[in-house]
Amino acid sequence: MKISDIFKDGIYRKNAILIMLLGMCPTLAVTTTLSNAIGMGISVIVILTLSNISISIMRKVIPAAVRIPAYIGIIAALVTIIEMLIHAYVPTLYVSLGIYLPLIVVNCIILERAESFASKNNILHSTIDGIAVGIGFTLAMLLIAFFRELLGTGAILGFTILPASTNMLIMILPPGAFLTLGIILGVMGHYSNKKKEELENE
Amino acid sequence: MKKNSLLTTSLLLGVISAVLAVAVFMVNSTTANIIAESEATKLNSYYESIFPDSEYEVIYDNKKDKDKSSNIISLATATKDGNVLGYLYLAYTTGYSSDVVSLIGINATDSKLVKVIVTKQTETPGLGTLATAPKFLDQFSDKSTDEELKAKDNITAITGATITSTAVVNSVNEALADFNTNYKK
Amino acid sequence: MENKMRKVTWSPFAHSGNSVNMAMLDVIISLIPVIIASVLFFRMGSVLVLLTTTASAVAFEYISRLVLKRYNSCQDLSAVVTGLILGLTLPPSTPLIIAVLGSLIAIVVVKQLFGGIGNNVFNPAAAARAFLLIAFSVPLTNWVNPMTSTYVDATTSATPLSLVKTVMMNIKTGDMEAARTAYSVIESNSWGLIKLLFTGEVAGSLGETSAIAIIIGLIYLIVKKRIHTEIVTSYVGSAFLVTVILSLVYDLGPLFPLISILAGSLLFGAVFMATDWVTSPMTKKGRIIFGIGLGVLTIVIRTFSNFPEGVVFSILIMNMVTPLIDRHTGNRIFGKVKVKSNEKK
Repeated sequence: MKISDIFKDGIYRKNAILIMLLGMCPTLAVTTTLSNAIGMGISVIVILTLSNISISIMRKVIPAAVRIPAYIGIIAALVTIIEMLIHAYVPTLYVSLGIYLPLIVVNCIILERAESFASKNNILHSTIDGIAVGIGFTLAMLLIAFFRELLGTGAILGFTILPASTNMLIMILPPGAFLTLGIILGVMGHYSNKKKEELENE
Repeated sequence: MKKNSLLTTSLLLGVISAVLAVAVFMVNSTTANIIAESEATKLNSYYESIFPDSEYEVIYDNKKDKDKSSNIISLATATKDGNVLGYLYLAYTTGYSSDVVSLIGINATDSKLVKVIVTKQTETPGLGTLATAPKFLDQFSDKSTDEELKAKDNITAITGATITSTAVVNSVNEALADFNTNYKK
Repeated sequence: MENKMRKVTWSPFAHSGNSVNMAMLDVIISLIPVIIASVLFFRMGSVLVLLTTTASAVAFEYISRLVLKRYNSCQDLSAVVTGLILGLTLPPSTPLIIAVLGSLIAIVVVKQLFGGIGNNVFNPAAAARAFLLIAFSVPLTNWVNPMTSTYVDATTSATPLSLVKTVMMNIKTGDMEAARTAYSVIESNSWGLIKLLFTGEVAGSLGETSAIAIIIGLIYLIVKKRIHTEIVTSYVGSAFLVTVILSLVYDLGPLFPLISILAGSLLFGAVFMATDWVTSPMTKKGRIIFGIGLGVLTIVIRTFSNFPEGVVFSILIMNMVTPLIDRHTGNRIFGKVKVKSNEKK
């Protein structure tokens, strides 16, 4: 397996949010501002890489029949340990990331990568896959958060750009998340359909 | 030994879980003290920002005593040169998605609110968290302890975050009520 | 091939002269009394908002068809109808830029992205109104008193609906005493209020205030056979019944149900938005279920939600349920023998 293929798959060909529609809970809940999306994205990259590594190491020890509970146990323990370590040694980071860490336990991207990639591949490939999928997740989160923050609060990364009278409260409420995601998916679907037609016509 | 027999499988899963549990326990036991210490210094720095350059004395701490009957977590006094400057209440109310913990500083001499700080919350980012930002909390400063505060009435609630706003207001009212009955001059 | 064609139909055909344009034109004519009433009561505010929404709706229809490379559908007048109905659901003091945004949502997002006229899942005007209400809740709940001559100096005012809402809020908390006291404000002059609600001389959205104008429009549509009366009757009837029950339980007096029906946009929504041909069920039975759902939901949303009005939300919810209703109340296909449930196998 080529390393560049793993990157391409993780970042856009099999993008966790926009193509596979996984991890919808953080996608819809934490994309209210760009800084939230960045915080969540970094947490996912770190946890996903570590969980991929540890599951790849243990892939030959875990019995196939009980692999899912074992994965969940590993992921949950990993997240808890990292949360406690950050809380104790880097309290400033904990203030900004602390609320996202527990959310990651229930993020199905982590479990999906463990089941479909890390349990079948070696440690190097699993590490790269964790980073690549994490980056793809972060980029998609940033795309959604950009529109929601701009239209909902008139700001980008907290810097006000649009006047307060054009702020649409709906964009930072749950319906705004669904609308933004839906329109982005619609536009993407339109272009991938076009590409398919072009390929078929050739 | 058959590799996939029920006994080995369940034993292996048990071993994995045990290892994970031990790992979590070990990390917890080493970090718990550090976390508690850093939280104590953090609380002290919050005290400092309300009543600077004073000495703080904890009157009671319900969290340590495991007393959950009241919404007030702890009470401390700030003293300077032997005079009691004010009272510092730590109180919580359940907000939209978490317990919102606020620190309420009351001036002992003129019975007015000095400052309210939200010290702990995991409300919806970008919405509920707005009700924990200075812009909302500054409204409490200099309010007399005699008036009962009400979101939407004498405190402007944050649009879209009414529940979190109300939670903060309720914590403040709780502290005010306790102050009025026990410590008001 | 020719044989098959002959089985299906015989030429020459008779054309009734009926077309989409004609239907849309009738809807526009039926809206005229409502428009006249709104211009009479809100003057420039009404004219500006209605002109903005209608012009921008047609413009967006034209542009989006151009961009999507489809045939131009502006001449079927459906964009004019959507623009007018959207404008009539807005308060007279709506900032015009918000009105333009409403047209954008209605025409581009709700209608054209789903495939244009006939393919939209939701009523465009209702969806856009709901979007604007949540996005800009402050300017869209800023009510203006009628008969004020200038657009700028208009004073803000409470709507009759907000009186009803206060009663509903107390019903929600289960406080019978408070509901009763809140109602006594209405009760002191209930006949006067009902009279005002009929003529339309109250604060509210442009098109919803005058019950008489709406009823004239309704009669025109019924005479022209453009709408199905069962939606209107079952909607208004079920909402009335629910409020009658509430009023009996909370001892609110006999006039409360009537005021509840007349206040807010319930009548306007029932006549002009719920009866949309595209987004309502196809069979009579289906339409009655649709109307009952609307009536119950409207009162439930009025009572339990933080929003003052439940009409657009209930219309959107029932629009969503319409395919399900159609599936379970569909007409028997001609020539197909009805299969009894115990014979299925």
